Amino acid sequence: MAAFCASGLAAGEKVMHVAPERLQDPVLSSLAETGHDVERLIELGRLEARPIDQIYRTEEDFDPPRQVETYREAIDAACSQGYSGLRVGADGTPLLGRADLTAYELRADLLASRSPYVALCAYDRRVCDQGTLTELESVHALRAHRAGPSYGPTFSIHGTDDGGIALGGEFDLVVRDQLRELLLVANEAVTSPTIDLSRLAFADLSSVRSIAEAAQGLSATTGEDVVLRDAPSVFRKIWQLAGFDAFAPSVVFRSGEAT
Amino acid sequence: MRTMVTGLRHELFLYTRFSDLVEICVSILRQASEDDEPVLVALASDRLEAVRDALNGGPGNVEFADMAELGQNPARIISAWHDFFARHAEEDRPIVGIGESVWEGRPSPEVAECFLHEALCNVAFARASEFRAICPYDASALDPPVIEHARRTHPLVLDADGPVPNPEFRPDQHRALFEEPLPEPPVDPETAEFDLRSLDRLRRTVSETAIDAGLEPIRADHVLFAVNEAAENSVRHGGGRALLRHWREGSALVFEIRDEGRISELLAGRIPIDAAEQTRGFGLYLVNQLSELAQVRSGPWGTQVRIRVDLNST
Repeated sequence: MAAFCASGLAAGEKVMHVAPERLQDPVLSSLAETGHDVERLIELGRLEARPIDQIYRTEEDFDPPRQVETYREAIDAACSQGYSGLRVGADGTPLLGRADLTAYELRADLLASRSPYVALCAYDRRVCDQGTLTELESVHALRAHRAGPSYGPTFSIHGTDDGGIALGGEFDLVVRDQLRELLLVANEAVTSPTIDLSRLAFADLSSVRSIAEAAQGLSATTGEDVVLRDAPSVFRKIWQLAGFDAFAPSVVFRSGEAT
Repeated sequence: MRTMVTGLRHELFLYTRFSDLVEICVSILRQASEDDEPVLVALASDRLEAVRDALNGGPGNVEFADMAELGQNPARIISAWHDFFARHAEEDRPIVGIGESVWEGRPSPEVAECFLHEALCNVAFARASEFRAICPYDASALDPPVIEHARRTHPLVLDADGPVPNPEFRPDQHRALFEEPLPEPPVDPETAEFDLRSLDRLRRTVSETAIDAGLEPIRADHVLFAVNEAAENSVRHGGGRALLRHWREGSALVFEIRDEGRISELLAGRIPIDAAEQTRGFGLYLVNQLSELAQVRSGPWGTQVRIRVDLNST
């Protein structure tokens, strides 16, 4: 979480960390340990540490549209103050069990798909049952967008039903760093060494390289081969021409549904 | 113990009869066989067939390659030689190559790239282990200016007595060719400026133009990748803003990325690169490998990268 917040600070985004109060200190301490003057950042308004109950109200008062609207206003405010966007790292574990949580996440995801908004939503696996987790994943994309008032294509990185990740959309120089960063985040979260590329519309060489590096990292962590599923033919061609077969020998390409 | 000579012996072989070409190839191959030297012969398919027939099963140290494929984009030929070197690296033997990249009827943009390729060979292999490259040119079929160009790019001429120094060779020809802007389009091109934030619009334009022109989706994808890499190079190294131009030229569809930057490494994109390294020129290497014809020029005036596809070929 601290690394995610630090990336936003480095990218000129306004960063908001939303979590139960007992979880605020470890993140802020971690930021301080990596050379950030946390007090000064908070004083300047670049960083906000908000208790989760202050943002999400009580269970009875949980209203997804209004909640999303709160974030939309925060994005607008951040942009008008000159930030390149808003980055929210939120530990949503206290929200588990709320009836409209999945709908809320979907709305938040849709907001993210059209705004300079990056959000990392954390849920504690120890208190989140598999069914809820799967449901949240089904609507939960980690999306990244071009910062600023005009941005073009989006890309998505989200979990798949089989525990891997899926990449969709277009990846180019603009989102190169975000891709690398999100793949690192994704690598820590996946339970299956599978990367679905069936919805990949475009990937430049630097993106193919990031995927190769992430796949190698994933393989090293899990000790298993990494499957790149339904890769477009041009992706495979670039992979082969650029020599990634030798660079990432534990990667296998597969087509069709997961077995 | 044999002493290895380093460097390239780049020989021009002018012939006027097909039989002379076959004869010289057979003679070189037999000598290389005796000396146990690996040989790569890259010729158009009709010539390959004639040489194979004349060898009648001949030596086993020869690889044959169809130059129409290997050298479709002449900017790929140097990397093909590097690959051949790598396959024979442990033999510690001189390498022999026969390559005929220009033939009658080859479109002029491709011939221009052959000239640049021939000139850059002198730089690319200057410090290679011993490499004898013989480049046949059909003096009876090719236009005199083509032969003149060939004379400027080969330090040696192979005649009846063997290789002799070529007084017409110009050592700086590679730079002269690389720094000369490509001919202006024969028609008014469509143009669009772009920067980092409009790369997506540039891709939309390239993709739609290619598909509208009737290019198959897989070839359109290759063109799109190549043009995008060239555009990203412009954004990163060429001053942030650049120009896309595209036009039809006969049966060719042409895309050009132009910026105000300058490529200082003339061999950029022509030498195989280790995928583990993030070196400059890697994107251009992929552009060359993926393009049916890529033309790169750079000088004090800026940089041009042109990607051409023939809509009549498949």
